[in-house]
Amino acid sequence: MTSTILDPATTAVTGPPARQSRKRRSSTTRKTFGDWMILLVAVLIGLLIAVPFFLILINSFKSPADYNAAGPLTLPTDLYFDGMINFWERVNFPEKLWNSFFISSVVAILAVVISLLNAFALGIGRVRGRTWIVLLILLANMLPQEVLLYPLYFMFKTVGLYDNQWAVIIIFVVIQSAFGTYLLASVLGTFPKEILEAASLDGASRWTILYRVVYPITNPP
Amino acid sequence: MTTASVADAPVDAPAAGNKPVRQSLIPGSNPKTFWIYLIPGLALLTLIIVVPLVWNIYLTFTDYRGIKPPEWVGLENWVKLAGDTTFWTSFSNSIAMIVAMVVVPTLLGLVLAAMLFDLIGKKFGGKIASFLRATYYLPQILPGVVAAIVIGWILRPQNGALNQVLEGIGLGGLAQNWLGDPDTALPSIMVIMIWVQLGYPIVIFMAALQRVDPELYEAAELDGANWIQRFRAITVSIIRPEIFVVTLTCTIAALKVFGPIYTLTGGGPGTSTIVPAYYAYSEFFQSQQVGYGATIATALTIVIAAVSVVFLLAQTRLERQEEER
Repeated sequence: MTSTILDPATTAVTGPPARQSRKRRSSTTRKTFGDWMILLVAVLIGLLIAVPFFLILINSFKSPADYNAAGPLTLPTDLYFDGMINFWERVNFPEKLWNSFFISSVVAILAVVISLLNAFALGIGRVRGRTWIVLLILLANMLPQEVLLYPLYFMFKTVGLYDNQWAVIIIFVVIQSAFGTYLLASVLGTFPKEILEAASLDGASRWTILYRVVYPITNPP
Repeated sequence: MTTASVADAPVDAPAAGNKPVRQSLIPGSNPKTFWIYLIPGLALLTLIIVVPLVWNIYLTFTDYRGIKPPEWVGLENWVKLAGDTTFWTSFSNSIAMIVAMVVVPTLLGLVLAAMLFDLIGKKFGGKIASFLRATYYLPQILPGVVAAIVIGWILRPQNGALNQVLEGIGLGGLAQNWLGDPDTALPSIMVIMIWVQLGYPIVIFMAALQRVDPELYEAAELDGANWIQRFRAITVSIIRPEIFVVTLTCTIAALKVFGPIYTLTGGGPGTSTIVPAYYAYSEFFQSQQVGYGATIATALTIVIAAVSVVFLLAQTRLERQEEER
């Protein structure tokens, strides 16, 4: 019977895979005092890390009077939603959320486009001096952002993009695409050559190869 | 995961006999023609990174208050920087930040990741291990500034949760103005940064540990190696690439740290928690000493670039030694 032969527990005498899984099974059940102590330590560390989150949660449902009377550590006497409602209305939270959503979506799309173009030239095109180009691009990640503050502030003010979402978007596209280029260039450097050869034999131009071959294959399904 | 790996990617098979021709991966197209794809990226990079950087370097040689045009003063800012005790304090605080954001999280992260993967994951099941990992990662999902505000509220001298806990368990004498006292401000920030950073190495290291062949551990166990020996000989040596990546990215982050200092202490009390990035910012925008602020920022850039290059070189050398062995 196939099932008995494949059952690791019954064929423990032979074959390394069987022995291995049997051993693991036995060690799952045999827990020493020390194992429990280690679990306890791990759980305590987890609790310590999570405590600030609990505090935030319980205090966000407390009325100011309740907070003043009992302090931050007690559970709220009754659920108080005014704080949240006031906050939501005062800062116009939907607007802020929309800004975040809009800026991050545009940045994500543009940064991927720029990274893919860069990585196509560096990884597949094998442009000369590519290591140095990658290092130059990575400068965007290494610089302390204070270096950029004054010049960018001034530059965007001159071209009238001061106090504008597009200034933020352009800056973040450059910074984010630096890491994207680094990662994608290493990945595309190992792109299967046969596929590219086949495509170019079929007469595909480089743009077509980028758009119809490299992009779909790199893109997760 | 290193910059070097871009260059080390499989080299084209040398054309038979004659000298190797530089070739792209697409047959018949010259690498030179690929420059066109770099134009948008490099143009944006020039505009947003290179121009400001060069401008900034120029400003370090000027006296500039932001209104009148910059005035050339030669090396005056750099001389002032070398003798500026606040600047040197900010750099020694950077070392404290490296301890809190790199050394402790990486070492603790290694031990915790190995513990979760090796002991808890195997004896109590993978679900408990993943749940604990997610808990450790919680602070990482908060934006740094928000995390700092949360902790700042817990550390408040009046009504702060930490002081209340201390009073509650009868240790009221230990209650402090945690962030307002020059003696406790820096240690408090260090603890906060450990809290923020710890999850990152744990998640990366646990992912890396999936690569370790369990038979290696079993063989070592049979040979009588205890947990610490197995940890040092197997775990650490196999996940070394990840240790490098984590150390480098965290060191850069520690040298650049700004948000938590800005929200929690503003570099104070006095200069007890000042860091280079915050010092540069305050010279730029509060004292309006733009030339001097640029000098601090440029000095910081040089340090970060040097550290990154040293790291990458060390890593490449270690990898090469590993291959030769």
